[in-house]
Amino acid sequence: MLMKMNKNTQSDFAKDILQKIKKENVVITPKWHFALREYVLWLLILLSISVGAVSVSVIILHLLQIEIAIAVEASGGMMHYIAVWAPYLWLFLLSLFIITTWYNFKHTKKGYRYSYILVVLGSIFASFVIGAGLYFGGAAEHAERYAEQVSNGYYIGSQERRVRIWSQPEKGLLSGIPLDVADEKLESFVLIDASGKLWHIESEDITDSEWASINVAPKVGIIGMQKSADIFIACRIVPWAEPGERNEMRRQIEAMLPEGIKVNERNIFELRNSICEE
Amino acid sequence: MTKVESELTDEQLIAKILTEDKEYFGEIIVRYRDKLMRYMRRITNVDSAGAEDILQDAFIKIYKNLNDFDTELKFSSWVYRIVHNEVISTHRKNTSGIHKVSISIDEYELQNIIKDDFDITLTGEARLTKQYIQEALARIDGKYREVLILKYFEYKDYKEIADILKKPMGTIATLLNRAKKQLRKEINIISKNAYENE
Repeated sequence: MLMKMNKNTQSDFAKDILQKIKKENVVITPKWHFALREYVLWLLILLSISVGAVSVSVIILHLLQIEIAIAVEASGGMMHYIAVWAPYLWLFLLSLFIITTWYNFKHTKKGYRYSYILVVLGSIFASFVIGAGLYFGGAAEHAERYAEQVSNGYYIGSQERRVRIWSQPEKGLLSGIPLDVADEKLESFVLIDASGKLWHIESEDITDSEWASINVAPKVGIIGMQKSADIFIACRIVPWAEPGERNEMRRQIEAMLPEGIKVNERNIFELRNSICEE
Repeated sequence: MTKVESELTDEQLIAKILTEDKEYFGEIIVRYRDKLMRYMRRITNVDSAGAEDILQDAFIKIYKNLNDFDTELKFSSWVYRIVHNEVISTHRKNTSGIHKVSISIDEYELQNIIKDDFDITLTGEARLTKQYIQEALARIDGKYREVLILKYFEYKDYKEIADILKKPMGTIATLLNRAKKQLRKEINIISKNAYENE
């Protein structure tokens, strides 16, 4: 049964504690100690969101740079594409730092007032908004280069992934640098692929603007069919451009075409499939 | 304790402890000792001596961390939070958990529970209803018992409970709802069993 303490007992209890405080030299922790702890937590939160944002910027780079429709088809379906080509490192880092943000936020002075879902969603939102900004600022390329350096070649960047996707001639995908291409459209040209192999490309079926793109783009992707060990029949040619370079490249290609002909007769940058149309 | 000290608010006392004299902390102890002792006895099965030890450690922690007190909170919420955490950490050390508590209910508290939305009707004797509620409270999950104790025995509002347990207010509302349901269910089981045994 609970007993109400009388005033004397209460005072004795208080005296005992005050004596203990004196005897054990208990001191009040200074304010700066708690302020520092709070600053460190917020610094860690900022750091976590920043790393998450960098991860998002690289994920955006992968999504925009790699021709997803082509890659999915060449991989044999979306699940296979995700299993082989998804940027796991960055997805892992994004998840990890969302958890770190949540954990640190929860330990701030007022962090407990917000629900976990709200904190996680807020963290994802912040990472995506800042990540999009970082992507346009070019941070994604820097992050990829850094990852390639520190991983000692284990990390495969979006550029290399794109090359690998476009280096499957048996699946109708080939890429490389066209050599000595004439301005006038010819029935064939020579291309050197990423491994240094020379290919004889039969180009009868390609459009004028695609031929012009061979002249303009330093590198091209080709959709078609492998005829023999070093002969490839092209039915589509895609200029190898970074997302930011496409408008300028389109302008250069159009400049090479006879007056009145626009590149958009068939969108040369956007590919829906890797099937050669009859 | 002088009359002047007893008229000061908690926040004014803290300011005096931090700037003038540490002895003012004695008034804080006197002010909260009974309330906290009662709260502790309700959430844990610790004996009187054990409760005093825990409370002493809690007050020393309160003293040490006075500069960490967030003035946006009620001082009482902050104090209850420290005591709550102290009880939990003591139980973790003793690996016994918070269970088998014996909760005493006075008439005022009984009416407070009944008149709320528990749908408990006093068909039998008040003494029996009280006994059922006590038993049911001892049987429900600790996390539910905690919120019920804070709401109906310590008379804390949602915000205070949220600040004491360090949970969002929405979570407290959910916990309270589930706690009421579980308590009602347990009371029904206990009263049914009692009726069948008669």
